[in-house]
Amino acid sequence: MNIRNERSPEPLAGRLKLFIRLTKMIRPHKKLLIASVLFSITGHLSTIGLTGFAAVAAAVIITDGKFSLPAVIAAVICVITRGALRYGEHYFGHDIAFRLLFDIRKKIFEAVNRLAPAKLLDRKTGDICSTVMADVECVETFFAHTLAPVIVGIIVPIIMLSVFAAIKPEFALIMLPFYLLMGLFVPVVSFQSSAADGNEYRNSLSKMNSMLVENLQGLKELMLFNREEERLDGILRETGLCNHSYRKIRSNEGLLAAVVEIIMLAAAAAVIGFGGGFVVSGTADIGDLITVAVLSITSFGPLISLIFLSNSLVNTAAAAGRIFALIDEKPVVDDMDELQGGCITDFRIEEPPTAESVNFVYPGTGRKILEDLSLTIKKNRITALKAESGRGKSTVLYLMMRFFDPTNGRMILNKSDLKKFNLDCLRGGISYFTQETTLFNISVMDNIRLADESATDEEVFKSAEKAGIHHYICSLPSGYNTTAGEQGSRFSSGERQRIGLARIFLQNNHVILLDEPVSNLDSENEKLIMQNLKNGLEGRTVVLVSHRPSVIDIADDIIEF
Amino acid sequence: MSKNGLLNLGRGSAKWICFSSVMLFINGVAYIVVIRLIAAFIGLLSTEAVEYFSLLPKFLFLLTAVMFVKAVASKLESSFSYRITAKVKYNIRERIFNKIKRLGPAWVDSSGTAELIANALDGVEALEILFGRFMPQLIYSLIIPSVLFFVTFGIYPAFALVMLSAVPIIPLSMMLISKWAKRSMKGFWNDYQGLSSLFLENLQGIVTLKLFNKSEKRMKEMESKAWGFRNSTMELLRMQLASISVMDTLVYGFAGAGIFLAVYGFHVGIVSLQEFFILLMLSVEFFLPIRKLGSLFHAGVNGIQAGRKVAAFLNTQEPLRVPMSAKLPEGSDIVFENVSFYYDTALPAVLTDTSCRFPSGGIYGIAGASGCGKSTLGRLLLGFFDPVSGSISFGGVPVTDIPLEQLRRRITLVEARSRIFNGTIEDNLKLAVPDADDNRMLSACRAAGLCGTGKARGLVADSGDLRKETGESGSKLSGGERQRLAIARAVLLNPDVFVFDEAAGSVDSESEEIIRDTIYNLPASKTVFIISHRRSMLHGADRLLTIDDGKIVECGRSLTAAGEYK
Repeated sequence: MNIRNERSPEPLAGRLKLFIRLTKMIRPHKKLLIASVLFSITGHLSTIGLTGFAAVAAAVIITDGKFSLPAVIAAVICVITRGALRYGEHYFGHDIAFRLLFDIRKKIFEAVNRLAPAKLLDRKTGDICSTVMADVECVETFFAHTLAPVIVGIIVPIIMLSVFAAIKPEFALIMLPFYLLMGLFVPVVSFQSSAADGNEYRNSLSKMNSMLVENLQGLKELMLFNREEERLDGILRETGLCNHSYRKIRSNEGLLAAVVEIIMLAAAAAVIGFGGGFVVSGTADIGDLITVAVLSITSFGPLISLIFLSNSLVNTAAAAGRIFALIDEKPVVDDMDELQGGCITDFRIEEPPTAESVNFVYPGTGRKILEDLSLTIKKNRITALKAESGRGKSTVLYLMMRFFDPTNGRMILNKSDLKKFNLDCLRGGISYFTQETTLFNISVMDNIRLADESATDEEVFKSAEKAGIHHYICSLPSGYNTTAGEQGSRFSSGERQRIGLARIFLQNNHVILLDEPVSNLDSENEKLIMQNLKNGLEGRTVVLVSHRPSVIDIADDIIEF
Repeated sequence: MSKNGLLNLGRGSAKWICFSSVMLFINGVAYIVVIRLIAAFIGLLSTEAVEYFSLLPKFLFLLTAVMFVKAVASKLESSFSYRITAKVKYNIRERIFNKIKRLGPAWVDSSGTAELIANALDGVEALEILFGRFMPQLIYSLIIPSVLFFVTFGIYPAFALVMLSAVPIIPLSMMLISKWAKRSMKGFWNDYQGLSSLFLENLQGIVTLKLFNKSEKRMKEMESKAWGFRNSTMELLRMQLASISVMDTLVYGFAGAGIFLAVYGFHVGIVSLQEFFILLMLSVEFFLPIRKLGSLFHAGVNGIQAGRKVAAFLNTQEPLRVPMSAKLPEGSDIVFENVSFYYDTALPAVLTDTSCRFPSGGIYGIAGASGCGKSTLGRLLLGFFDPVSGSISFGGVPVTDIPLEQLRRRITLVEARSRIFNGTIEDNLKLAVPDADDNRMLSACRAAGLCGTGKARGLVADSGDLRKETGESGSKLSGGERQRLAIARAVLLNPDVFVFDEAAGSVDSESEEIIRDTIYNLPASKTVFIISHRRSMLHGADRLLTIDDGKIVECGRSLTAAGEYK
């Protein structure tokens, strides 16, 4: 939770750039935005018009003594249309928000897809994901509730100024500074003051929330050590601190509300004060005075809604910054595509991957993992890599899958540089099996079929049988239609691992990399899976990394480094 | 759970809620005064040939005075509302925590903490809005229409009557709509959440998707699902917006009716110009507080629901545990005597009338498939639960008679996926012994295999390493390191009895070996229970037990050197 707020507020210029870039994203949905804004503007005008036209009617009565039908009809139209206009405003507003949410998610997914797996290996995937989720929601708020109000907040006052000018130009001149004050000065000041306090509060809030979550989740441990009391006191203290910084925010809000009241009434006082003078001097009549008095009080609506937006803008800027950073991030390996010359797409693996004096330093960390490593894997045999932990056994597998490129030296496949192979095709030729199997919340059948969509049911059953999970799946009430639950929660880690194995069997690749395949399993499951692996992988080229002697036992060759 | 319980949650903030609504009220009345002032000024200008320049300062002075009152009321209102918030937050959290303390770890174990966290975070947040914003606005909305009624009744009774009669219609229609909307919105939110979790799932599973070249396909699927969802959402939105528009039209319709009456009254001469102005401006004001309440309505409903949950939690029945004699145990022999235990009468008994002696200083392996009740033994020993009948004695004293604090100092438990707290390694170790010095901590770390062996440098090689940050939930440590740190914590506590319940259940094989070594190298005087389904963990135990048909029994088969059952 902390990650979200560690970044200090960006300089204003940088933030402005972010907002411009965000606004550009709306381009494909321009028409919807225009519709939403138009509905919103007319909606506001009809609210103002209701009392405004009544005032005009009164003015007509004063001057002509007649009941002004047009003015009354106009007021009635305002009453009738108000609901419909609001309908349009919200309808189009939601539509835009929805489409943009969709666009942003797509962009992020594409970015993550480009960056994975290298970028996701060292960072905690869950962290990135939850941050991204929250950021997307935050940016969506910007489109749904910020952009249109800003446009409306600019246009409505301009229209109102021209109405005032039509009555008497001086009235427009009187109102102008108040509109500027309310629409420009107050939001900017509030933005600036709330940026600092808001940041402080959010930091304190997120600190408190994570403290709360952590201590509640660890309650049992705390109770075991008789420490719950002192921890919970700490949380209450933090709640107090958090309240204290919240107080500043509320106090700013209160001040802001007071300032808004003062500006509105001051505008009314100015218009009516000067207006009275115009009436006395005969340059305006009493009907005009009534009208401007009413309009001056009712026309601030669209501006007031701007003031309280600034709070969320600070968050939006930070969220947008993170999202764009993700979208702009360069992947660590370049994929060859078919347009470039020499890209290999259609191939059979004749020679297993080998390393040629490879050096590898983890990008970003500078941690040197591999130094001048050369190794050759024998075809159609099971090879185990053996090394002390931390020496880069798994890294060798990463390099074979081209999650990363070696810092120096080359990885070779079929006598060609691994970089020449199209990544999708490479991954279609080599299977990679890790200690954790990710299941999606779809049926077991579909989960296994992820490895080969064209597989028949029989083929899926067969792979599941090879993986030793077929009978278990059949024993479930819904059999292969059982959904795996969120993150595969319906299955134990041993079951998940066996389903993962079924995928590997179904994928039927010639080269298979196993990275700690049974590390998370108990001995029963371990034995079962190793047996199934040994039988199922007969005649394949297998590279194996494991810590357990019992796993290494199945290897034909062992390479130590 | 009654409304009383809900109001009870806001205890202590009632005063501030009243003050807050009084400020709203003052603000509302001040607005009426402002309107009257402006009306009076306009009225004077229209009727009498008054001296404008002598009138203007008076007008401006009075207006400024009211303006000042209004501004102060606004400011005070927000500070009172802050006080409500602060009080509610603090009080409810405090009560939740005190409740947890009394409920004990058994409750935490069985109910999980997710609900609790939801209560303590979102629940409190929702209640804060309920008490801090909704309640004052509710009180205000109930009072102000009658004030407006009296003000306008003196001017034009028909107007006042029409307005007042309309007031109850608005909240009524609001409630109907929200009830209707809630039903259809529920499905919508589920779909919406479903789509979000699909997105999250795809992000989290991206490596797998990529390995199988399925990421494009899943993206496409997500797109088409999102599009279908969009269409159904917009459908729903259309209906919902339509109902909101109806309500809006209703509000403006009534305001329009009032305004029409005002114009009519002015035309026929029942009301003067200045009275017309008052009626015009107040006709909108009649419905504003209720509309504002409407925008808070959703928050209010959420708050009530959250409040019910919190109150229900606070009413959870607490286990009764009164130490009878508070005797201190002598020695650490553990004796089960005719112990029976079940979690719930509806569930099969875990133990039935079983007796067993565990002399101190032995390593007891508890084997068995998951769900057979092996973990129950540890929980009973630690006093999470008390036996239904029979007794468990520790050092000659029934466990139920030993004060919990004492008991937990002498017996400790390490489970799979132990919690590590945000802070330094030292902070985490000191949970066990607050005044431990570096040497003691280092030797505990050494015992738990955290210091590394041979050339390999471990997590804690010297006392400087004790200040390493662990990260949130120990995120800067590996799973194995977290577990070993938890064991170091237990070793530092130096209890007489250790219960390791699948302590190596979720770590890599390397850590598993280290943990196994740690456990088997504990001083011989300690009583150690190893609960595990993994044979390798139990190999080497002095006695191997299991629970069979409600009895603690010796495993019929002992282990061979190869770790296989004979």
